[in-house]
Amino acid sequence: MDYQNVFRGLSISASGLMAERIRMGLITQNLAHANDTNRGDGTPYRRQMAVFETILDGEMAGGVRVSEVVDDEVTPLGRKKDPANKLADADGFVATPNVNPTYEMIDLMTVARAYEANLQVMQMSVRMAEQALELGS
Amino acid sequence: MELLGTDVSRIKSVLDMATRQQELIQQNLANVNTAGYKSQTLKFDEALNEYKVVEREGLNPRQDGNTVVLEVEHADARKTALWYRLHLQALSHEARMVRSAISGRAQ
Repeated sequence: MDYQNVFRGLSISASGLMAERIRMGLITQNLAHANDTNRGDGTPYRRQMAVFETILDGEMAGGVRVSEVVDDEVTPLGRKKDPANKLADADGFVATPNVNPTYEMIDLMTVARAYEANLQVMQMSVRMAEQALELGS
Repeated sequence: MELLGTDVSRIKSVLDMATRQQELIQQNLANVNTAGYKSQTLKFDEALNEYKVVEREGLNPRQDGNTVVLEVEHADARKTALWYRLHLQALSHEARMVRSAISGRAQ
Protein backbone atom coordinates (compact mmCIF):
# COMPACT_ATOMS: atom_id res chain seq x y z
CA MET A 1 0.00 0.00 0.00
CA ASP A 2 1.20 3.46 -0.86
CA TYR A 3 1.54 5.26 2.47
CA GLN A 4 0.37 8.50 0.82
CA ASN A 5 -3.08 6.91 0.49
CA VAL A 6 -3.66 7.09 4.23
CA PHE A 7 -3.06 10.81 4.23
CA ARG A 8 -5.21 11.40 1.17
CA GLY A 9 -8.11 9.61 2.83
CA LEU A 10 -7.62 11.73 5.93
CA SER A 11 -7.50 14.98 4.00
CA ILE A 12 -10.69 14.08 2.09
CA SER A 13 -12.59 13.58 5.34
CA ALA A 14 -10.94 16.64 6.87
CA SER A 15 -12.16 18.75 3.96
CA GLY A 16 -15.68 17.47 4.63
CA LEU A 17 -15.41 18.38 8.31
CA MET A 18 -14.10 21.82 7.43
CA ALA A 19 -16.85 22.54 4.90
CA GLU A 20 -19.55 21.47 7.38
CA ARG A 21 -18.02 23.68 10.04
CA ILE A 22 -18.17 26.68 7.70
CA ARG A 23 -21.84 25.88 7.05
CA MET A 24 -22.48 25.70 10.76
CA GLY A 25 -20.83 29.12 11.16
CA LEU A 26 -23.22 30.54 8.56
CA ILE A 27 -26.23 29.05 10.36
CA THR A 28 -25.24 30.66 13.66
CA GLN A 29 -24.65 33.93 11.81
CA ASN A 30 -28.10 33.68 10.21
CA LEU A 31 -29.71 33.10 13.60
CA ALA A 32 -27.76 35.98 15.14
CA HIS A 33 -29.02 38.28 12.37
CA ALA A 34 -32.60 36.98 12.42
CA ASN A 35 -33.90 40.41 13.45
CA ASP A 36 -31.32 42.58 11.71
CA THR A 37 -33.39 44.96 9.56
CA ASN A 38 -30.42 47.00 8.35
CA ARG A 39 -27.22 45.48 7.02
CA GLY A 40 -25.72 48.93 6.45
CA ASP A 41 -27.38 49.93 3.19
CA GLY A 42 -30.94 50.25 4.54
CA THR A 43 -31.97 46.73 3.43
CA PRO A 44 -32.51 43.85 5.83
CA TYR A 45 -30.00 41.04 6.38
CA ARG A 46 -30.32 38.19 3.90
CA ARG A 47 -29.81 34.57 4.81
CA GLN A 48 -26.30 33.35 3.88
CA MET A 49 -25.80 30.00 2.20
CA ALA A 50 -22.63 28.02 1.49
CA VAL A 51 -22.17 26.53 -1.97
CA PHE A 52 -20.28 23.23 -1.84
CA GLU A 53 -18.00 22.09 -4.65
CA THR A 54 -16.33 18.72 -5.22
CA ILE A 55 -12.53 18.76 -5.45
CA LEU A 56 -10.93 16.34 -7.88
CA ASP A 57 -7.22 15.70 -7.67
CA GLY A 58 -6.81 14.59 -11.27
CA GLU A 59 -8.52 11.19 -11.38
CA MET A 60 -8.47 10.81 -7.62
CA ALA A 61 -10.96 11.99 -5.05
CA GLY A 62 -9.94 15.24 -3.38
CA GLY A 63 -12.82 16.04 -1.03
CA VAL A 64 -15.01 19.12 -0.92
CA ARG A 65 -14.72 22.87 -0.43
CA VAL A 66 -17.01 25.83 0.04
CA SER A 67 -16.66 27.57 -3.32
CA GLU A 68 -18.67 30.65 -2.35
CA VAL A 69 -21.08 32.08 0.17
CA VAL A 70 -24.19 33.53 -1.44
CA ASP A 71 -27.18 35.56 -0.26
CA ASP A 72 -30.50 33.71 -0.29
CA GLU A 73 -32.41 35.73 -2.91
CA VAL A 74 -35.17 33.12 -3.32
CA THR A 75 -36.81 33.09 0.11
CA PRO A 76 -38.94 36.26 0.36
CA LEU A 77 -38.25 38.88 2.99
CA GLY A 78 -40.70 39.32 5.84
CA ARG A 79 -42.59 42.44 6.95
CA LYS A 80 -43.38 43.69 10.36
CA LYS A 81 -45.12 46.72 11.81
CA ASP A 82 -42.54 48.96 13.44
CA PRO A 83 -43.45 52.64 12.94
CA ALA A 84 -40.68 53.80 15.30
CA ASN A 85 -38.02 52.37 12.97
CA LYS A 86 -36.59 55.06 10.71
CA LEU A 87 -36.56 52.56 7.83
CA ALA A 88 -40.34 52.12 8.06
CA ASP A 89 -42.38 52.86 4.93
CA ALA A 90 -45.45 55.15 4.77
CA ASP A 91 -47.65 52.47 6.36
CA GLY A 92 -45.18 51.88 9.20
CA PHE A 93 -43.89 48.51 7.94
CA VAL A 94 -40.26 47.42 7.91
CA ALA A 95 -38.80 44.62 5.76
CA THR A 96 -37.33 41.87 7.94
CA PRO A 97 -34.64 39.25 7.12
CA ASN A 98 -35.63 36.05 5.32
CA VAL A 99 -34.24 33.95 8.15
CA ASN A 100 -36.56 31.25 9.44
CA PRO A 101 -35.20 29.78 12.70
CA THR A 102 -36.96 26.46 12.03
CA TYR A 103 -35.17 26.01 8.70
CA GLU A 104 -31.88 26.99 10.28
CA MET A 105 -32.31 24.35 12.99
CA ILE A 106 -33.09 21.70 10.38
CA ASP A 107 -29.97 22.72 8.46
CA LEU A 108 -28.03 22.49 11.70
CA MET A 109 -29.23 18.90 12.12
CA THR A 110 -28.01 17.92 8.64
CA VAL A 111 -24.68 19.58 9.40
CA ALA A 112 -24.34 17.59 12.62
CA ARG A 113 -25.18 14.33 10.87
CA ALA A 114 -22.77 14.97 8.00
CA TYR A 115 -20.02 15.99 10.43
CA GLU A 116 -20.49 12.81 12.40
CA ALA A 117 -20.47 10.64 9.27
CA ASN A 118 -17.22 12.23 8.07
CA LEU A 119 -15.59 11.78 11.47
CA GLN A 120 -16.60 8.13 11.67
CA VAL A 121 -15.30 7.18 8.25
CA MET A 122 -12.10 9.09 9.03
CA GLN A 123 -11.60 7.01 12.16
CA MET A 124 -12.30 3.88 10.16
CA SER A 125 -9.57 4.68 7.64
CA VAL A 126 -7.13 5.41 10.47
CA ARG A 127 -7.97 2.04 12.00
CA MET A 128 -7.28 0.35 8.66
CA ALA A 129 -3.87 2.01 8.50
CA GLU A 130 -3.13 1.00 12.08
CA GLN A 131 -3.97 -2.61 11.30
CA ALA A 132 -1.54 -2.50 8.39
CA LEU A 133 1.12 -1.11 10.74
CA GLU A 134 0.60 -4.00 13.14
CA LEU A 135 1.59 -6.38 10.36
CA GLY A 136 4.89 -8.03 11.06
CA SER A 137 4.97 -7.03 14.72
CA MET B 1 5.47 -12.76 -5.83
CA GLU B 2 4.72 -16.17 -4.47
CA LEU B 3 5.20 -17.39 -0.91
CA LEU B 4 4.36 -20.99 -0.04
CA GLY B 5 2.05 -21.23 -3.03
CA THR B 6 0.03 -18.10 -2.26
CA ASP B 7 0.12 -15.20 -4.65
CA VAL B 8 0.99 -12.31 -2.32
CA SER B 9 0.63 -9.69 -5.06
CA ARG B 10 -3.02 -10.71 -5.32
CA ILE B 11 -3.55 -9.88 -1.67
CA LYS B 12 -1.75 -6.59 -2.24
CA SER B 13 -4.07 -5.69 -5.12
CA VAL B 14 -7.11 -6.40 -2.94
CA LEU B 15 -5.66 -4.17 -0.21
CA ASP B 16 -5.06 -1.43 -2.77
CA MET B 17 -8.59 -1.79 -4.07
CA ALA B 18 -10.05 -1.58 -0.56
CA THR B 19 -8.02 1.56 0.15
CA ARG B 20 -9.31 3.20 -3.03
CA GLN B 21 -12.87 2.19 -2.22
CA GLN B 22 -12.51 3.66 1.26
CA GLU B 23 -11.27 6.90 -0.28
CA LEU B 24 -14.30 7.04 -2.55
CA ILE B 25 -16.60 6.56 0.44
CA GLN B 26 -14.80 9.36 2.22
CA GLN B 27 -15.23 11.51 -0.88
CA ASN B 28 -18.96 10.65 -0.99
CA LEU B 29 -19.46 11.54 2.66
CA ALA B 30 -17.47 14.76 2.30
CA ASN B 31 -19.86 15.68 -0.52
CA VAL B 32 -23.09 14.66 1.20
CA ASN B 33 -24.26 18.30 1.03
CA THR B 34 -22.86 19.18 -2.41
CA ALA B 35 -25.72 19.90 -4.80
CA GLY B 36 -25.77 17.58 -7.82
CA TYR B 37 -23.02 15.27 -6.52
CA LYS B 38 -23.41 11.61 -7.54
CA SER B 39 -22.23 8.88 -5.16
CA GLN B 40 -19.28 6.92 -6.57
CA THR B 41 -18.01 3.41 -6.08
CA LEU B 42 -15.54 0.94 -7.58
CA LYS B 43 -16.85 -1.64 -10.01
CA PHE B 44 -15.02 -4.49 -11.67
CA ASP B 45 -14.85 -4.06 -15.43
CA GLU B 46 -14.79 -7.51 -17.07
CA ALA B 47 -13.55 -6.19 -20.41
CA LEU B 48 -10.66 -4.17 -18.99
CA ASN B 49 -10.03 -6.70 -16.18
CA GLU B 50 -9.65 -3.92 -13.63
CA TYR B 51 -11.66 -1.84 -11.17
CA LYS B 52 -13.21 1.37 -12.45
CA VAL B 53 -14.84 4.31 -10.68
CA VAL B 54 -18.55 4.39 -11.51
CA GLU B 55 -21.63 6.14 -10.17
CA ARG B 56 -23.57 4.10 -7.65
CA GLU B 57 -26.72 2.69 -9.19
CA GLY B 58 -30.28 2.38 -7.94
CA LEU B 59 -30.31 5.48 -5.75
CA ASN B 60 -33.00 8.12 -5.92
CA PRO B 61 -31.51 11.59 -6.12
CA ARG B 62 -32.61 14.12 -3.53
CA GLN B 63 -34.21 17.40 -4.53
CA ASP B 64 -30.76 18.95 -5.05
CA GLY B 65 -29.66 16.07 -7.33
CA ASN B 66 -27.36 14.50 -4.71
CA THR B 67 -27.43 10.69 -4.45
CA VAL B 68 -25.35 10.15 -1.29
CA VAL B 69 -27.20 8.08 1.32
CA LEU B 70 -25.45 7.99 4.69
CA GLU B 71 -26.62 4.46 5.52
CA VAL B 72 -25.43 3.01 2.20
CA GLU B 73 -22.03 4.66 2.55
CA HIS B 74 -21.65 3.58 6.15
CA ALA B 75 -22.51 -0.04 5.37
CA ASP B 76 -20.06 0.01 2.48
CA ALA B 77 -17.33 1.54 4.64
CA ARG B 78 -17.81 -1.21 7.22
CA LYS B 79 -17.71 -3.87 4.52
CA THR B 80 -14.56 -2.44 2.99
CA ALA B 81 -12.82 -2.20 6.38
CA LEU B 82 -13.64 -5.83 7.15
CA TRP B 83 -12.53 -6.93 3.69
CA TYR B 84 -9.27 -5.07 4.21
CA ARG B 85 -8.73 -6.67 7.60
CA LEU B 86 -9.47 -10.14 6.27
CA HIS B 87 -6.75 -9.83 3.65
CA LEU B 88 -4.30 -8.32 6.12
CA GLN B 89 -4.87 -11.36 8.32
CA ALA B 90 -4.22 -13.67 5.37
CA LEU B 91 -1.00 -11.81 4.64
CA SER B 92 0.12 -11.93 8.24
CA HIS B 93 -0.66 -15.64 8.34
CA GLU B 94 1.49 -16.17 5.24
CA ALA B 95 4.34 -14.24 6.81
CA ARG B 96 4.10 -16.30 9.99
CA MET B 97 4.27 -19.55 8.03
CA VAL B 98 7.30 -18.36 6.07
CA ARG B 99 9.04 -17.29 9.28
CA SER B 100 8.33 -20.67 10.78
CA ALA B 101 9.67 -22.43 7.69
CA ILE B 102 12.86 -20.36 7.83
CA SER B 103 13.47 -20.81 11.54
CA GLY B 104 12.38 -24.43 11.52
CA ARG B 105 10.07 -24.14 14.51
CA ALA B 106 6.49 -23.16 15.11
CA GLN B 107 5.98 -19.42 15.67
